[in-house]
Amino acid sequence: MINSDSFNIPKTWDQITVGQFIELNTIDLTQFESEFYLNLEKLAIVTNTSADDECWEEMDVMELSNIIKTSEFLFSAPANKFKTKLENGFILKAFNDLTLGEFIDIEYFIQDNVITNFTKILSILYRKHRLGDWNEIIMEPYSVIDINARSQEFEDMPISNVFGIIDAYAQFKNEFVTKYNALFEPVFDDEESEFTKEELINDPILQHEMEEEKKLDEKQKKWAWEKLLFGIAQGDIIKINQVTSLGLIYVFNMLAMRKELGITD
Amino acid sequence: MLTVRLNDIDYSIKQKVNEFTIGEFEQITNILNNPELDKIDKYTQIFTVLGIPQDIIDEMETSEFFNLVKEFANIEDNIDYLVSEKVKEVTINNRVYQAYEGEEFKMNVKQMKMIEKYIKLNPKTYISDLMAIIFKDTQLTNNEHYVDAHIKHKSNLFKDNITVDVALPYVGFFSKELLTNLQTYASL
Repeated sequence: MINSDSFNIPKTWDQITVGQFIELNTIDLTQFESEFYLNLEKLAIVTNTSADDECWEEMDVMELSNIIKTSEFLFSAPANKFKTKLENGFILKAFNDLTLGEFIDIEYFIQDNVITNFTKILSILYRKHRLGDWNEIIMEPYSVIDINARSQEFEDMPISNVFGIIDAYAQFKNEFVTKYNALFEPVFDDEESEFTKEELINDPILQHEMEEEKKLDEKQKKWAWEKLLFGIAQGDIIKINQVTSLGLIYVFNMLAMRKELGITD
Repeated sequence: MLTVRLNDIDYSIKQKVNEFTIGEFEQITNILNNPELDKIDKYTQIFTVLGIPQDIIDEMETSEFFNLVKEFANIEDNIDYLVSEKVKEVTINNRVYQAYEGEEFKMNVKQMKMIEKYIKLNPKTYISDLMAIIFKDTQLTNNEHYVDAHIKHKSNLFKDNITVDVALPYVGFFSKELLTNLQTYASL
């Protein structure tokens, strides 16, 4: 009879890798008829086995229940912590030092799917570095990173080293958006309709106008970043690469200044 | 066994758990649990399952019928079969079917998964399916044992050849395991 000694059953999030964490959080719940199978799948993921493997199928049900009890940490989220320096030598780039291009890409990955894109987000936030002539830290430029290849380097890292970074980034972003609220409106604005449902139902013309407005709004949201970049590059698409390399804070300070002073050229 | 004389013929009616086959027991419980049947319909059908011809029942006087129901239901059987000792193996047609080898029966994850699957597939006949999953033909390997066609074959075989007192301790065990699992998940 196979028992828990046959596996290395993780006891804490420190023993779960980023790759396993992503797998755990992308389980298709509709595939599992009961908690029993769902938990079996979770255990299979964290032990790098398959739920259909003989090792699980031959196991005494009571033994499996006991293992599930010892793995109860899997039912809660990892601690909201992160390291600024990782074992593989990558260090965290200060949020304030992010470039406009890095910020746009992070936002895209978060909105697309924060879990499946987690390692890509880590690849932007954690970077290789070297010391310059004055012992200053020089970060590896974003343009030289192959994001797909780099993201694989984070898969085997303990999730407990990086999990809290998303929350910390979200906090930074909220503060940033609040500070530059007026400039962000086209990107993040989720304004509610000024009309009630009844008014819309009873007035087909108003309904049509609202739908058109919604379509336009969706189009603007879809292309908001491109529109911003195009504007800063003054319509010169060759300059867009230069624009994305500019510091995020610097760009938004300049935009805020222009808006406040009414500079429109 | 209850013996009744109807129209000058003696009928033996199975009455105790250790007298019913799994098949008969499944039929009886399904009849008893059928909300569309009234009490008379239920017992008419049960007596038919147990061997009294339908026309004989139909001709019975009402008082006679109710006396039979009363006698049939008056069973002195204080054994809790759900927790009684488990029979380790059964022999049918010279083939041995074994539930476990060691000293104690243990249900593995594969069996649990299959039993849950079969209960969902055939909720009205799951006892015979459960027994077919637990009892292995000792002449076959594990690979053959878990094949659906073989489970179906054994399920049909057990329906007619194993009495309920053999099955109920395993039903009890499965229910207990299921409950323990549910409690485990509830506590997490």
